[in-house]
Parts: sequence; C-alpha cells; structure tokens
Amino acid sequence: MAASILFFLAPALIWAAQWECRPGGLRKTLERADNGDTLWLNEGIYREGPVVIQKNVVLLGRGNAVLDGQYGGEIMTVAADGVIIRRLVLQNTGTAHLEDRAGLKVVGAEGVHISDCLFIQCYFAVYLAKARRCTIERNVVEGRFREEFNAGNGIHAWKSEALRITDNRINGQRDGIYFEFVTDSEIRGNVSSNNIRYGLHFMFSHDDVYADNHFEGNGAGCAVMYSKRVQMLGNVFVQHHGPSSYAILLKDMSDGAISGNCFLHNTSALFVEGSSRMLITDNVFDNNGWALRIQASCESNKVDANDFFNNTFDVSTNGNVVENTFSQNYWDKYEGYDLNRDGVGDVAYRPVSLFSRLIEQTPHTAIFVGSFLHWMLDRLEKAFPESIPHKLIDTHPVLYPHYGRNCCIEKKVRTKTGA
Amino acid sequence: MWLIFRLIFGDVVRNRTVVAYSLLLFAVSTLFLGFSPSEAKALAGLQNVVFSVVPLTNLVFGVAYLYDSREFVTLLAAQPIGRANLYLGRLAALSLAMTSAYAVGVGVPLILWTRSEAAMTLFGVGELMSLVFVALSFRIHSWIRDKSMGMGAGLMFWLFFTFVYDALVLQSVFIFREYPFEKPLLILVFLNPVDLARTLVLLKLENAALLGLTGALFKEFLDDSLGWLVAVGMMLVQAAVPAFWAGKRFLKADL
Amino acid sequence: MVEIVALKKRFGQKQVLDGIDLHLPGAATVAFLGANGSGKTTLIKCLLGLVRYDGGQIKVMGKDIGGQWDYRRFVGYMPQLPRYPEYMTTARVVELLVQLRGVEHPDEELLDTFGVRDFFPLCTGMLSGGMTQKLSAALTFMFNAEIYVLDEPTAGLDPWAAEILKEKIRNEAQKGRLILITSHILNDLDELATHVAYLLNGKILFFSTIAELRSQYGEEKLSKILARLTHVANI
Repeated sequence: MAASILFFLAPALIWAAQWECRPGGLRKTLERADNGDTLWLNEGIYREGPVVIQKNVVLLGRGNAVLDGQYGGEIMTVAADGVIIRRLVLQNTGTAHLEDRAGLKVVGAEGVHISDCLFIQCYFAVYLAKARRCTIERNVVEGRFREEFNAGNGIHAWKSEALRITDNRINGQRDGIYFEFVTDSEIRGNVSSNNIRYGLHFMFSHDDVYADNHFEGNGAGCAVMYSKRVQMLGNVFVQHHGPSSYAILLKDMSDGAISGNCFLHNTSALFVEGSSRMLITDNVFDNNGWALRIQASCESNKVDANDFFNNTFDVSTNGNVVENTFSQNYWDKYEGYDLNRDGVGDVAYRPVSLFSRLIEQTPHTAIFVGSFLHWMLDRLEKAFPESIPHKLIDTHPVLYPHYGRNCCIEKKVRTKTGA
Repeated sequence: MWLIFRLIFGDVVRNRTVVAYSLLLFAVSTLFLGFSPSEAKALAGLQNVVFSVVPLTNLVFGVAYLYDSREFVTLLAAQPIGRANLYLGRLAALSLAMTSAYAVGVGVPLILWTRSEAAMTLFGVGELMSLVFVALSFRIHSWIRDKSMGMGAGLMFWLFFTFVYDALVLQSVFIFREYPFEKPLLILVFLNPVDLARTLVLLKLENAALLGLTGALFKEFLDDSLGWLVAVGMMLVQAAVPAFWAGKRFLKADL
Repeated sequence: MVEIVALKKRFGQKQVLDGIDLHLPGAATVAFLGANGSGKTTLIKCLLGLVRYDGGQIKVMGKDIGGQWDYRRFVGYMPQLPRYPEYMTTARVVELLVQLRGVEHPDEELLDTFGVRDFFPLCTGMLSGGMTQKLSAALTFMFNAEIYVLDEPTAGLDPWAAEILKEKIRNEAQKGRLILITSHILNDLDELATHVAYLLNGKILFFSTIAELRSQYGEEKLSKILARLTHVANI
C-alpha cells in the first residue's frame, strides 16, 4: 500500500487519535479508526466509491480534499451519531431516478455536524433522513442542472427534527432546501438562488422557523404547505418570474406568521390558498406583479402594517367574500386624506381593483394591462367605488410607509452578502 | 422628391401643433422618468400616455395638415414633377417630421435617463406607430374630401384602435374563456398596431409574467428575433398598406 | 402652341367637358369665359395635368401630355387662392420652388416691383391675402415659361399691383408666350385678351379673336359683347 498512514501513538483511552489520510486511503483509515478519532483528509482527489461512516468520527479536509463520485453512486453516508464533517469537497454523484443519490447522506443519526463543505454537481447534496439535532452550516452547493427531472435537491430533509440549516449557499439544484415531515427546526441566513423548482420546499413540517434567508431567481421562491405554526421572518424574495411563479405559496397553512419579509420583483409575491389564522405583518411588497393573491378559501388571516409599493396589483382574489382583515397597511395607490392628521386615512381603501378581478377570472385579459381600457376601468372604479361590490377593505390605511422602499433594497444587499 | 420633402418637412417641423406635441411628450417623459419611484413605473406611466397621444396626434394632425395643404399640393402638382414623387415626398416628409417630434419628445428623455431594453422598445414601437398613423391619415385624406368629415374619421379610427377594438377583444376573451384562446388572441393583438406595440413593451417590462399562459405564448413567439422581425414587419405593413393605397388613389386623383 | 382635341371629362353623373376642340397659338392672350360650371376650370386643370381626362388629347408644343409631366417646365400656373407652407419663410419657399423648377436664371422682375423681397423673412402664413397674391404672381413669372395659366390673377391685388401685373402679362404676350386667363373682371380682360374662348355646358361655343368679336357685334367692351352674345345663345 502506497498510502502512508501516520499514527500518533498516544494514550488511546484519553486522547482521540489523529489520522492523516491521502487519496486511496480513506476507506482503510476509517476501518482502523475508533469512535472519537479525527481523520485529516489531505489535498487530492479521493475516488473510493461510496463511503459509509458508522463510527463517531471527525472528518476534516486539509487543503483541497475532493471526494469524487465519478458520476457513479453516492459519495458518503453517515449512519452514526455525532459525526463531524468539515471543509471537504464532494462532487459528481451519479444521477438516478429511482433512488436519491446524495453527496452526503445522513440516515437515522443524531447530532451530525456538516460545515464548510463544497458540493459540486451532486444529484442531492446533503440528504437527511430520520435525523435529529443535526447542524448544516456554511456549506456551498453548486448544481449546474438544467432540467427538473434529472436534478435533486440541495439540502433535503425528511422525517427529521431539531435541525439547524444556517448560512448555506445553494445554487442550481431542483429545490434549494426541501423539508418534509421536519419539525422544530430552524433555517436561517441561507442564500438559495437559481434553483429550477423552488428555493425552499416545505411540507408537513410544523413549528419551524425560517428567517433571514435570501431567495433569488428560483422557479418559485417558497412553497410552504400543510404545516402549522411556521414562522417566516425577515426573508428576502427577489426575481421570481414566470406565468405561475411566486415568492411564497401558502397552501393549507395555519397559525403561522409571515413578518418583516421583503418581496421585490416577483410575479406573485404572496399566494395564499386554503390557509387560516396566519399573521401577515410588517412585510414590504415592492414592484411585484401581484403583491398578495388571497383565494376565497382563506379565512381569519390578518394582513396588518405592510407596505405596498409599485405593484401592478396590490391584492387580488377570486371570490367575493373574504373573511380576512386588513388594517394599518400602507398602499401607495391610496388617494384618501387625513384631516385629523393621525397618520391614518379617513377613507377606507379597497385594494382589489376591478381589473385584477377580471384577470383572476379570465387570465387572458392580462394582455390589456397598461392599455387605455385598463386606465378607463381604474378611473371609473375610482369615481364610483360603491358600484363594485367587494368586502375586502383596509379600514385604516396609513398615509406614510412603515419601512420605506429602500428597506427592501438594503435588506437585499445585506442578506445576499450574508452580513 | 427631395425638394418636395424639404418643402413639406421644413413646414411641418416648425408647425406649432407639432412643436407643442413634441414639447408635451418631452414634459411628460421627463416628469415620469424624473419623478417615478422606479423605471418600470415610469415606463408603465409613460406608455399609457404614448399609446393614446401618439395615435391621436398623428391621426388628427396628419389629417388636418393634409387638408390644409391641399392648395399648395395642387400648385406643386402643376410643377414639372411626377405625381408619385410628389406623393412620396409628402409621405416621407410628414412621416419623418412626426417621428422626429416623437424622437425629441420621448426618445431623447429615454436615452438620457435609461437605455434599458424596455425603454428602447417603447421608443421603437412609438416610432412605428407614428408611421402607421401618418399613413392612415393619408388614407383618410384620399378617401374623404371634406375636412371636418376627415377629422371626424380620424377621431373614430383613434377611438377604434385605442378603445373599441380592445373592448371587442375583451368581449371575445370572455366569450371564449373556456377554450384555448391564446392563438386567436395573438392574432387579434397583431392586427391592431396599438395593441401590438403595447404588448411588445409589456413583454419587456417587469410584469410580463403577469400575462400567465398568454404571456408564455407571446413570449415564446416574440422572444426570438424572428418573432420580433414578424412584429416589426407587421407594423411596417400596417403603415405600408394604407400609404400605398392612398398613393395609388393620389396618382389618379383629380386635384 | 396648345392643341386640344375631343377632350372629355365626366365627374360622376355630370359630363363636365363634352368634346372640346381648341387650337391655341403662341403670342396670344386667351380669355376663358363661361358661366359657373361650364367647364373652364376643369379644362385648365386638364392642361395642367391636375385633372385626368377620360377621352381626347392635349398636345403642348407638339407633344401629347398624357401621362407626362416634363412639359410642365413650359407651363407657369397662378392658382386662384394660393397657400404656401405656413411655417416657412417666403425666401425659403421661393428658393425651393426655384430649385424645383431647375431654372438657371429666374426672372426676378416682379419680386422687385411687387416688393416681395420686403417680406422675405416672414413666414408665408403671416402674409395677408394681397401679399400672398403678389408672391404667387411673382413666382408664376419667374420660370421663363412658354405658357401661362392664370386663374383670377388680379383678384385681391390693389390697383397699382394689378397694373404692374397686367403690364407684365402684356410684355410676356409680346415675347410670343401663350397666356390663358380665367377672370370675372372683364375690364381687365378688355385690356389684355387677344382671343376669347367661350364655354357652355362643357363645349366650346365659340373661339375667336377679340377684334372679330368687336366688329361682329359692333361693341367695344367685352361686357357688352357678352350680354348680346348670351342673348343670342339663349334664342
């Protein structure tokens, strides 16, 4: 064996052993290592087929330690608790349609810590199944996938709990982050961009928080579905374009909060369907096609203290009666007055325009956006507001923005650079 | 033809109405671009003005000018030049004068403030629309001898292209909402220069994706350069047909 | 100089010209007379190429003018109510029209005698009716034409200007040019006309020299002759 293995003789019972690894020697070293040992992977390309870690070890890259799957199967699977993996490069898993091949798979383990790794062209990058209390942080995932059907997710979690996914950057996968049956977890400070389907895909996952993430240019920003008590705070959503694209889709959600987020340049910023008792507060909607599309199936949601700027349509809905409350929002299209100068307009505001209702019913009519016809309809509606029956009213529209337009742009820069 | 062009062009560009039109457009463009919170907003606002004011001015002024210059044209027709040259000289002069007025009023502010694709599209389609409606005013003039009737016809055409046509299309969209209507809609949009121009701008603006499936089809069709060529070609045809038709009548007309 | 053979023109139901035959020599001043709607204007417009005739032939200086425009180099036309590009200076209009005619040495006599140069800096839209008429007259005689078609040439001119114009017309006639005038001011025609062409219902009722007419009817004034003539015609 050409691989040289340095073994520092030390009292093995007290001190964990330190192993030096070179390409070709990883499997062998793993076999020899004991629980609690540390393996240093030196610079070089390791082509050793699928590696399974069943001991509680620490894997540390030194220099550019690359694990190459050669487009075959998986690269590494962690099946033991407390494994720590840092500074490795994992690349080129195979693509399979029947099994989820991953760069790094964690199955049934607890307390696994993966950080500062780089994943290049992995079908799935990090795959967590039945994991608990794992931390995934500061990793970079670079997929260069084009079609949805042969790409996997960036960070994929299934039937897990108490995960911390923080400060990762995920680019060009199918879904940036995928949660299914994951509870009590936190997703914070990640940048998820240019993923083919969703920046974040989220189902049946209760009591989670995702905050301060940046989503940009994904097929759609977040699809958040069938979950309870989810907190979405301070995220930024930029440039989600497409006929059926949106920044956030809420479907069958309840008792959660969407607060302090910024929505900039999205086709639909917030699409809400079948959701109830959600708090939608303190968000800024700037330059979106539709800021808020709230379907008739929603009830008891609160839309308070948000800022709406430059959206083609602020609110649209497909039904007549919407049992949701709007209050204290800032609408740039509001033309009311404030005689007693308390900052709240004296006239209620109806954010659903006749034209947006037309489009909701017959999408083809959108071709007339910006036409003379559109302008006429808007004018007519302003002149005779009572003639259009809808109950969706902001009773206390405020006259000055809560946060201001620049908030979005500043926040965008901040979250993207991770500062 | 060159001399005819100079005679008419020199007159039209100094015409008070044309100067006022250009200044108005300039003021409006400057206001929108200078005071709107975002470029998209500015362009959306500006396009509203452009798509009603440009057809209106070109039609009404064009028709009025043609009637007012009738005596001079008769005098010119008695000079040693051919009718075709006379017609082409006038057509070129009026077209270039109106497109120049638009270029000064809208093009210059757009180029100074932004130079985005959407802005340049708005500039371009505005110019094409100017050509279409100048040509149409020649057609109206060749068709109706009475000035007030001609002006009335100009207004009717304007109303038709900017409003009535859209209302009818909207109606048909409602009637056929259960059917796939993208392709007929695409054709309907192509037939009206104002709709076509507006759609071309709309597709370049941020809210293009609002159009949903319709937009997807339009984008697919218009995103490659061939689609653009077809669209621009369509507008040129819409200018050329009435211009040619009016020209043919002018060749045989008794002045 | 101008030969018109069997000229026909119909506007809708109305046969405006119904077989006109006319031979107009040089060095003549021909007054076209006739009631409103008798076809005078249409006849002149056919000659100018402004109206497309349905049948017959017009020859100018021996050449058929059908579909031609080059012959108009020899034709000067003074319309009845001229209008020039409103927002262009008089000087510019004159300059461009001279270029259009391609004349090397334009006859600028009337520009001076009418004082047209005084309003050269003004836009033509600001000129009064009389000034416009002066400009029009000056322009007509600038291009050394062989045939002049003058539609109500003295209308709107002050008496002094009218005299200058008549003098100019006489001079041109003496140089051997053919001058065609339609006018309702018969006194002017008394002084100028050498021939009279009388139209009735799209036909030439008669065409003869003024000397013949005078001897025939024993009257000096054209107005008197006309009065007697229509009397005869009505019988």
